[in-house]
Amino acid sequence: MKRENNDTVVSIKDLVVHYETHEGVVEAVNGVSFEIKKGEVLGLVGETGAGKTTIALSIMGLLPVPPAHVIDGEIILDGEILLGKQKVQKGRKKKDVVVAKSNHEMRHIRGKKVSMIFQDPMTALNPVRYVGDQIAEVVELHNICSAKEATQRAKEMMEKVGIPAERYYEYPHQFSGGMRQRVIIAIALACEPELLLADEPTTALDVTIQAQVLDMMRTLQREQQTALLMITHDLGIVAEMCDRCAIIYGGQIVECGDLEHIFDRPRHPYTRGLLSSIPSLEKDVSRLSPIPGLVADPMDLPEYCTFYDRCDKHCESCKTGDPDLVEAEPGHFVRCFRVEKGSV
Amino acid sequence: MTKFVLRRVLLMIPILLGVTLLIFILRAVTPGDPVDSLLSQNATPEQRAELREELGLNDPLVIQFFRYVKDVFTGDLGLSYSTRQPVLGEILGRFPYTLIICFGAVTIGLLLGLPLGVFSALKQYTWVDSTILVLSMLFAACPGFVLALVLITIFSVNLGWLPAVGLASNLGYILPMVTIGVSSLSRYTRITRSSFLEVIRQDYIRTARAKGQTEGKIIIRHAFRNAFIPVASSIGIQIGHQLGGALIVETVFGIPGIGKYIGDAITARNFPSVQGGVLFLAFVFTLINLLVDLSFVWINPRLKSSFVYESESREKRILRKGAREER
Repeated sequence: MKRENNDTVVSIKDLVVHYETHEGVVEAVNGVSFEIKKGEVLGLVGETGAGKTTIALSIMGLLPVPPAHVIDGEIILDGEILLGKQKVQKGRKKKDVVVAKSNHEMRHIRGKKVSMIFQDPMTALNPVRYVGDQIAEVVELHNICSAKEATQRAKEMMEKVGIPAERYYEYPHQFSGGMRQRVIIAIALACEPELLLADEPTTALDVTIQAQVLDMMRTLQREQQTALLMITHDLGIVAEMCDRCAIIYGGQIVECGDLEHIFDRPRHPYTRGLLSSIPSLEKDVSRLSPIPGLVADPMDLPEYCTFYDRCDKHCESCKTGDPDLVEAEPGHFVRCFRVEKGSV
Repeated sequence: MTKFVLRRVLLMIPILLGVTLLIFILRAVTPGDPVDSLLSQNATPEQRAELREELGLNDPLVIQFFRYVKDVFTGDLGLSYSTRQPVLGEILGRFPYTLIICFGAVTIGLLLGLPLGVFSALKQYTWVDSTILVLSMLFAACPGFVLALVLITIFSVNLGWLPAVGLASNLGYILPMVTIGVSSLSRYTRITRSSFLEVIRQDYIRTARAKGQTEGKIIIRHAFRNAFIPVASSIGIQIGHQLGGALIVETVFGIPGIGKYIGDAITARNFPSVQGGVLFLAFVFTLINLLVDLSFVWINPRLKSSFVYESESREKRILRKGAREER
């Protein structure tokens, strides 16, 4: 199961995840591929319902099954295949079937090699247990050590995220939202994972606290050389935190590249739309410029380019099929027919 | 904390006063005269009038009420009409039987109800879950005396394992305990199931999974204690039901407990015993609920801090007052 690879921590290939509900099939993720290297921060930007959280949960192996269903794809974390195709004998034919690691196997990976920070700190901690114990729990699970050592490590982590260790024996309700998110970050980083998935970690916090928490995350991430997948819908956070950025729309990456690619030379109309909808301090405009239309309905995605209906530059040839992700310049990938044709 | 307990204890006084008043009103509208059951059929009207005077039944109800309340405060619940013994002594002599049965019933209910509820929730929408739910509905809907008779038929008459009535041996406790326990068991099962289903969908359960915790430990360490909170709050109420149910079940099984005592007293129009018995049960009920509420602080730490904050703000108030006075 091991594969030697340079310093790539996680690589995802052609991930397709659908939710099968009573109303129909929700095509949440449709062929997403990316890699994150050691110590690198990748921003994953998209609107609500674009499939960001589903990607993170797929890596964690925490997708709610059913209704979620991994159709296709491969996830390799630190050389270990978490999810991949295997030839399985079915009747006479051999068939490719996507096989994920069992829950039992994933248990030793979750919290140790890959951790996740959830969006809402108010509900992510158990209300009837000491916050310190909740940090120590993950240490005890993965580092075979005594309870005493785990407690010590938990206190260290609390200090690292900026909470006095004396608050070990306190309950979550005695903490503010920002402090709770710090506790959750401490839990996530306590075992020094290879990969950290941060699912909108600061969306529920107010702006000043956001800055502090992001700062602290960045410091710890650099210190531990953790690969970080930063899921957000805030391009400001991306500019602040990330090395590379992937824009996701309708369950597909529509543009991906270094920060300068995305911010200085955006190619995809959606990325341009996102950037131009950020209020500017310099220009004197009375109204924000939103992207017209609504997010593509993942239950009813078109056969052609998913962004066609909202695109201001679409033409008839855009309806001929789904564009591929092409490299517009080294390290800069765009999914748009106009780039394919070289007209932009 | 002390302040909370004190307030709750003081609150018991109006509750008990209300219960007493209610019994007095019920007594006034109840047909029948205690004298009828105390004297033989051929007693002369003079004898009857004399007895009425002696028992104080000729005084207006209001006077009787205040006299009774005054006596209760001095720890005197009056004399039983039929035995001429202090009611309090009789009640205390009988209460242990009821207490043992109720305690046993709560134990049966919790020991079986909690695991069944959790199990049912874990197997949600399977045949196991449906079976547990249907059975628990059935038992909850089944009146105690019916269940009692069914159990007697099966275990005493047909199998001959357990005595049908009386407490000749300790085995006699089992059927009454089971009868009362089963109805609360089904309630605990359903409360546990629904609260467990709610808890298991919470974000902190997902956090625990993200840590790599095992499913078993997630249930025990993270889900159970949270799911237990609504169950615990229903325990006090359940004990109330059980004390009430004891009246019928004890009569069926011939247990000399407080329920049978009140039942007998009602048929005999033995007012002091009825009043004393009901008042005593009300007292026990409020006391148990107070204990349950206090145990809540241990179960649900969010409550503890609300006490702490309260006393803290009190301290601050005192400090502020002191500062103002200094000025």
